[in-house]
Amino acid sequence: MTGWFLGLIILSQFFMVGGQIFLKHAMNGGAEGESVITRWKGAAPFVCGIGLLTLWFFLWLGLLSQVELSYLYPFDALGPLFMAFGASVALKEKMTPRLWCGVLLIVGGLLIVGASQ
Amino acid sequence: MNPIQPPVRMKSALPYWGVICCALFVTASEVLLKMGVDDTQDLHSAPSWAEFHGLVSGWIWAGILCYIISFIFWLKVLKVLPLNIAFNLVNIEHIFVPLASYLFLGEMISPMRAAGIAIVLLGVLVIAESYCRVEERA
Repeated sequence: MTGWFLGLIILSQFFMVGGQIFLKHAMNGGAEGESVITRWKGAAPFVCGIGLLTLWFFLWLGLLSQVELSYLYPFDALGPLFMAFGASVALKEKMTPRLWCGVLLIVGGLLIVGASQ
Repeated sequence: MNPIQPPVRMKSALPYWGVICCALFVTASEVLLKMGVDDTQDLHSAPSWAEFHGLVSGWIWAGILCYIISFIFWLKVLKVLPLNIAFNLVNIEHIFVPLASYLFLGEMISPMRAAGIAIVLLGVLVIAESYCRVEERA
């Protein structure tokens, strides 16, 4: 595996986490009775989120066509970990020790599922 | 900023149902897409046309519809729950998908895979419990 390929895998995870963060940002806004301009501004993060998730989808498909699923699955399993970091940095969501424990259990479980393929 | 600020009472029941519905529709989508792909592979031997003809299959369209519905539930959940909790709770789909594969597609679950699924379930329960605790405290 080349560093270039590893970079693409990390980029795909970056797209996925970024897309979800934009979607969450879009869902946080949107109060009742706001102006049309404000609504259009609020639609921007939603469009960015959908766009990043679309990029993630096609990049992931491309990666899947190059290597076996069992090879890529562990990187996908690290998604919850990347998401925890992304949400705590970008959205300032506080991570408690209990939440980290849950995230690590999910990542560990998914890695075992991936290894069983 | 507290990540697990409980929403207003009216919305408090939504996260659980929303997460479960989202995971169930994703599961249905995965199963239907698999059935559609298998269905079209039986009909068309030429691999270059298989993907195109796959769109003709009713199973594929049903799978796409389920995926869109799951996305709508996901947006509703995101409106109420913090991202890190919602994203991890919806990992329950990793339990539903193998179970559905076993029930509807006749796929086998190895002991190692079952152990992995059990650990994922434990992780989801730990995160759900931490959300419930803060909700009860409020």
